[in-house]
This record gives sequence, structure tokens and C-alpha cells, in this order.
Amino acid sequence: MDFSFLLYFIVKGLEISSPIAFASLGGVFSERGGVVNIALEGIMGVTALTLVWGAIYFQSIWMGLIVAMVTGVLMGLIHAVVTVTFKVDHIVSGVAINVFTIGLSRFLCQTWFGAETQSKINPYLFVKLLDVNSLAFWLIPITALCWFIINKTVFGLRLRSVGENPEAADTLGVNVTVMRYTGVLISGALCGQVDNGNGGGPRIHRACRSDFRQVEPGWRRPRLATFRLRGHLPNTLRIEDPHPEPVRADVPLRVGRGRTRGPCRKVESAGVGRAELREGGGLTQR
Amino acid sequence: MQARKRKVYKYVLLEQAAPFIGFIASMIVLLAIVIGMRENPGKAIQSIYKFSMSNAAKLAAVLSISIPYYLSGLSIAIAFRAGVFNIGNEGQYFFGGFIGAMAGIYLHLPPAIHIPVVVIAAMVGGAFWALIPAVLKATRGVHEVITTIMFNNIGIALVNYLVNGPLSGMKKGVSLEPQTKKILATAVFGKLNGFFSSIGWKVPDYVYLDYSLVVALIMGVLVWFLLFRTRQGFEIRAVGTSIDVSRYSGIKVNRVQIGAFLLSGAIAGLIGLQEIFAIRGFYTYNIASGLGFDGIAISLIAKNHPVGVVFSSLLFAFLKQAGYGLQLSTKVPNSVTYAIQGLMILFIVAINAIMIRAVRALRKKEAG
Repeated sequence: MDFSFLLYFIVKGLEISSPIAFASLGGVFSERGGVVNIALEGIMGVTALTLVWGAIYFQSIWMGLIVAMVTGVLMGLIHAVVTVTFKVDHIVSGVAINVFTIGLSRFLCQTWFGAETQSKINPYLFVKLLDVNSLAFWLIPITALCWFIINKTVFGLRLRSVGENPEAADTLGVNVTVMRYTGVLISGALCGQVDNGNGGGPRIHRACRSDFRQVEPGWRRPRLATFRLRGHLPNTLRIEDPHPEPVRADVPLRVGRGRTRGPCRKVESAGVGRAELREGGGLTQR
Repeated sequence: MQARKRKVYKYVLLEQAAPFIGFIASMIVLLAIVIGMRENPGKAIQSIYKFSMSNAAKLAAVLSISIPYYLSGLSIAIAFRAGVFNIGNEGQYFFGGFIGAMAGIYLHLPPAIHIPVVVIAAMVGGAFWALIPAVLKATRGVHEVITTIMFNNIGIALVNYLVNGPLSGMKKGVSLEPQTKKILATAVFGKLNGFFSSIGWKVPDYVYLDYSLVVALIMGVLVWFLLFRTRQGFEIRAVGTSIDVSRYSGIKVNRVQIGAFLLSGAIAGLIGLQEIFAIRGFYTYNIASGLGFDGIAISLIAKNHPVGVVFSSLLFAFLKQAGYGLQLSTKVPNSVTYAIQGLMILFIVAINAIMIRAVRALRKKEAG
């Protein structure tokens, strides 16, 4: 095994992993801010398309990259509005955006390129460096930058505090909403950048090299788990139980003879019968 | 007293209105897209109508498409009710369908027994594929979203291998879609078309309204009964509403969650029945994919209620047909319906949040 082959092997590995890694960095930003971003999956799909479109339309891959990042931010904005402003469950919103973006990317591809799953060939490419896409090398400085921002800056500290304990951060004067928005938007932008590194993952793959291809929905999921494992170990995941309906922890539970308040009231209204917390601590059904 | 009750109804109405408003809003977006593509909206509506519900055959087609959607939504609904995010429907129905198909191919039984056996085998297969994520979740706290997504890929790849390799029914040198052997005649699902025709609904032969419809109905009733009329169902809903309260009040949260997870997997195993046993008659890993993820959307629109899932799965089937209609007679591509589905969920959840807040504000105001 000669050295040039080894080098090529490593560099090629970097190229193949860069889309996933970029999206993972995006996921880290979002997740550190306390928003689970399943929507990255769909965002990657759309940005891969808009990169190709932007590159062909403006005749420059850099414009394509900017267009893709803007698209990523816009998609992130949807996620941020739904999850942060309306406080909808993060996974619900992410799934919806994934479904939405599958349709959106196909639709746009159809209207722009006349075929649902494949774009025109994009002649404007990133410079090749060591025989791979040069954007892959961006990964190294950007990863370092992300680490620096998250761990060493005021912004990063605030972002992490918002993710870990929003109430405490709020009392200390950190604007939770703004921080979360920023986190999700950065994640969208990174994601946009990414994909396009040279196409995302095994299948969207070609986005940057030549054209955009649609992916079977079921097969693109692994990246989601990749970024989630990347940021945190499973045990430290903050969202231990993402309920469809958020638990109303703010309402104190009155234990005793009277009816329970708070979460149990919902159970009661569902028509089964009364839910009561007795002194013994058994949830009974009448 | 009466007046007060009426007011309560008003709030309930407001709280339940979100799906309808979301549906209307997304339809408006659809029409806006149609107009944006310089097509006649009247023509678009007409084509949608013509393709999805102009006659009995089209309606039957919508019903037929909605069967797997219904099972998928039902499976997700029960998991969400228990507060577990089973994203692994996809893998569960590939694997469950595979086990069911194996029972259909290699077991020799009389027809009256064979079909129930096949259904149970599919359920066992689906539940088995949910077992490991469920146990990991309950004992080690591994987040089920990660494990189930991973299990989707493992399951699909495993089935892919088995169909291509040891269990392939292909003769050597024949190049066709990789598939297993044919399912025995005793296990093939018959059509109910004759039955529907006898009650005056002329269902043409090319529409598949088969025994899987019966299976779906039975499952729906069972799940409804379980959730709303039994103690176990009460526990499931309590866990889904608040883990802390249920744990505090003595519910064995882990056991309930594992149970709901397995049940969800078992129902997910049935999603493929229609395609495998009625339409194709053999198993291949090329059966329709993505139904599991559609199920999430379907269940969300129905607010995880087994009866609501009936309507939302019909809605999704209708949208699918509407997409084909649009594509045939206008320039609007079929893929628009995916975007509309996604938008619809976003609208519904956002409007739901707004409504709940509005109702809370109104109640506060009323209370003074």
C-alpha cells in the first residue's frame, strides 16, 4: 500500500463524510439550543436542489452555495417558528417539514428542470483538490470554528444555557426565543452549506458533482441518528420524553381528597371517568 | 347551567377546529400553486373531483388506498398515546410482512386457519422488530427515535438480503424483480368486491378491497376499545399525558411503554398485508415504502385518535388520488401533494397551538 493511495483513501473518506458531518454540526447548534432538529433531513434534500439551481442560474457554484444556505435558513425558520413560537413538539414539526420538503424538492425540480427526480447536469463545480471536492476540506476549519463558538464565546455559552435550562437562562436575562431561533437558523445554514459539499450522503451524492437526484424517503434516515449521536450520548439527551402534548409542570399537583389538577385533568376529560390521585398514590379509574 | 354548558361546547369546538382549518388552508395553498402555474383552478378542482370521487369505482379506489394508511396511522397513534415515538414503522412493516409471507409460503394449512395464522405471523414479526428498541428504551433509556430509525435500515437491509439470497423464489438465470416464492392459494387474501356489489356498491375488479379491510376494521375497533374502555388503555393514556404523574401514582411506566411499543409494532406489521397477500401474491422488498412515515402524519392530523385516523387516512388516500388527477389533466406535478401533506401538518399543529392558547385566554377572561 503506497502513500498516495492511503492519502486518497483518507481524503475520499473526508469527502464522503463531509455532508453528514456538516449536517451534524447543524444539528449540534440546534440541539444545544434545545431544539431537536429532525428536519435537517428534509432541509438537506431541498438545499441540494437549490444549490444546483443556483449554480446553473447564476453560473457560479459560490452563488449556488449562498442560495442553498439561504434556503436552509428559510427552512430552519419554518422549524423555528413552529417549535419555538408555537411550542409544537419538535419531532412533530420535523416530520412535517420532512414530508413537506420531499414534495417541495420534487415539485421545484419538476418546474425548474422538467424532471421530478433529476436535475440538469451542473457544469459549475468546486475546484478539485487532491482529486476530491475542495469543499470537503472546509469541514476541518468549520468544525474547529463551531467548537470555538459553542465552547468559548458568550454566544455559545448562552446557547448552551438555553438548551440546558431555559427557565434559568430566562431569569438571567438571556432571550430564550432569540437564542433558539439563532440556533435553528445556524443549523439550517450549515445544513445548506453542507449538502452541497458534494451532495449529501450516499444518494443525494451527486448534487454538487453534477446533478441532483431525488432519494427514496425511507433510506435517508441514518443521518438523523448520526447527528444526534454526535452531539450527545443518548443518555444525556435532554428530551427524555418528547410528549405529543407537553406536560404542564407549572401547575402544582394537589394530592389528597380533591381532584387532581394539571396533567390528569386531560385524562379525565377524555371520557373514561375520573382520575384521582389518592393518598396511597394510586391513579384510580371510576 | 345550560348556558355554561353551551360555552364549554364552544371551547371544545374551537379546540377541535384545527384539523379543518388546516385542511382548508392547505387546500388554498394548493389552489394558489395551481394558479401560480397558470392553470385554471376550476379545471384543477374538476380533475381532482373526477379522479377521486366521481363514481363508485373511484371512491372504492380511495378506500382501498386508505387501508395501509389506516393501519399505519393506527400503529403510530397507539405509540404516541403512550408517549413513545415509534418512527420505526417502516422497518416493522417490512419485517412483519416478510414473516407473514413466510407463513403464507411455507406453512400448509386449510384456508380458514391459514389466513388468521398469516395475520398473526405478520403481527408477531412487526412486534419482534419493535422489541429491541422497546427494551433498550425501557431498561437503558436509549432514545427510541434513534434506535427505531436504525432498525428501519437494519430491517430493510435484512429483508433485502433474505429475498435476494436464501429465500429467493427465483429460478436461476431468470432476470426479474427479486421475489420470494408465490404465496400458497390458501393464504391469498380474497376480494370483497362481490360482497360490496351485493349491497349495491359496484366495485370494479381492478380495485383491491380485500380481507385486509376487515383486518383493519377489527384492529381499529380493538385499539379503540383498548385505549378507551380498559384499564391498560387508561394507563397508556396516562403515561402519554405525563410520565411523572403516572409513575408517581403507581403505574409501571416501563411495562406500559414496552407494551404499547410492541402493540404498535404488531399493528405496523399488518401494513403490508394488502400489497403482499392481495395485490402481488409474493413478497419482495420493493413493496411500497414510506407508508410508515405517512402514518406519523396521519396520526398527528387525527390527534392520535383511532376514529380520527379513519378520516385522516381517507384524506391522505384522497390526496394521493387527487395528485394523480392533477398530474394527468394539468401541468401541476403529482409531487405537490407531498408538499401539501407536510404543509397541512404544519398548519394543523400551529393552528392547534394558537387555538389552545386562545381558548385558555377566553377561559381566563370568563373567569374574570
